[in-house]
Amino acid sequence: MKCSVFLLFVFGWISVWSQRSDFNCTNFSKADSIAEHTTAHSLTNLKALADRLTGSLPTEQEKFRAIYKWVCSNIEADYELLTLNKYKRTKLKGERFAKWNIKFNKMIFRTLVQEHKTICTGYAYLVRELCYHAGLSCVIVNGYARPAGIDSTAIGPTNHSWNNVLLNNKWYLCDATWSSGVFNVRSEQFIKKYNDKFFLTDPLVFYQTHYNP
Amino acid sequence: MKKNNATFAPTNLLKIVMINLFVIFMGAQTFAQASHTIRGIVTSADDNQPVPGANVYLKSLSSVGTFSDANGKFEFPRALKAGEVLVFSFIGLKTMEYVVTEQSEGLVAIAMPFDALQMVDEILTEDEPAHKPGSQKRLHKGRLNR
Repeated sequence: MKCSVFLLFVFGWISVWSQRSDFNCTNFSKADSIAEHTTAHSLTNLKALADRLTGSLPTEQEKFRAIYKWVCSNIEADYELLTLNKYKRTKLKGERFAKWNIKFNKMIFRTLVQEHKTICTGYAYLVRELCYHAGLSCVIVNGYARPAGIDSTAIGPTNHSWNNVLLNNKWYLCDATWSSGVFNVRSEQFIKKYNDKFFLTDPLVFYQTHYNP
Repeated sequence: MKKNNATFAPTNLLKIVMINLFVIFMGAQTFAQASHTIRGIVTSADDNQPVPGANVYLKSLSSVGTFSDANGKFEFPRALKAGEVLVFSFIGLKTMEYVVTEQSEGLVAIAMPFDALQMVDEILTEDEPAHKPGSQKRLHKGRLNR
């Protein structure tokens, strides 16, 4: 058992480096700089934002990097929306839940535009849309995630959204919500703290905390 | 020294033929790719309400575009040819593409469906507190009244 765990760890470690090595020759500093200096941009014109972030970048991975860093740096997780959604999802079923979901969707988009705050699906939505306008293929994945790790015997209902993005004809995984920061529940404060771990993550690592049914 | 008329005449004839072929070719091209001025109205498919501020741009040249007005109406600023693609974008509604055809004329109606997402959330946290159901209910009321 211990040997299996050790081998799994080594294999996973090697895989992490082999995944990131796809872009070893790519310098992301320009993309990061563009994202950093594109501040206070409205979300009413996503095409203009996508063009500003990616227009001068030559490669798909750099374009995606700029989009990803911008979303992670400029969008905050909204604690009120998060707790409201969790509460309603446990209380409402069937048609009542469907009606609530439509109303909540509109609330999410309104809050996203007005306050640049959202929940996981909002992050994934923004990444997808900006990718579309930049000419990149990107999809939203709805699945199950648990920061402490997935227990294969206790997979819960769908509770998280992330993205798959196609770069140079290869699909990559990313989670902008988890890259953007952490939430301090005691103070109810969102702490912006960029985490690169969830940018183009190796699947072996990613699926330790994410599950796609 | 007199010019040799036997060699001069075929050259002139060749020029005339080339010019005529060019004119016919250009005419054929113009006929095959008629340009269309695209006007239309953008609405929400769910409630048929006009969508003001929808971004409308040419997919192959995104710098060319416009926005729908307060009544959801738009007129694309450049005449378009069959096969060109317009993109319609508005946050919260499904981004749509419209392919210009030879039959594209009159008002184009673009009904954008609501982009209904399965809203879920699982964020990273630090310093987890004890469960406080009362505080959650207080937050919900304030948010719903916005």
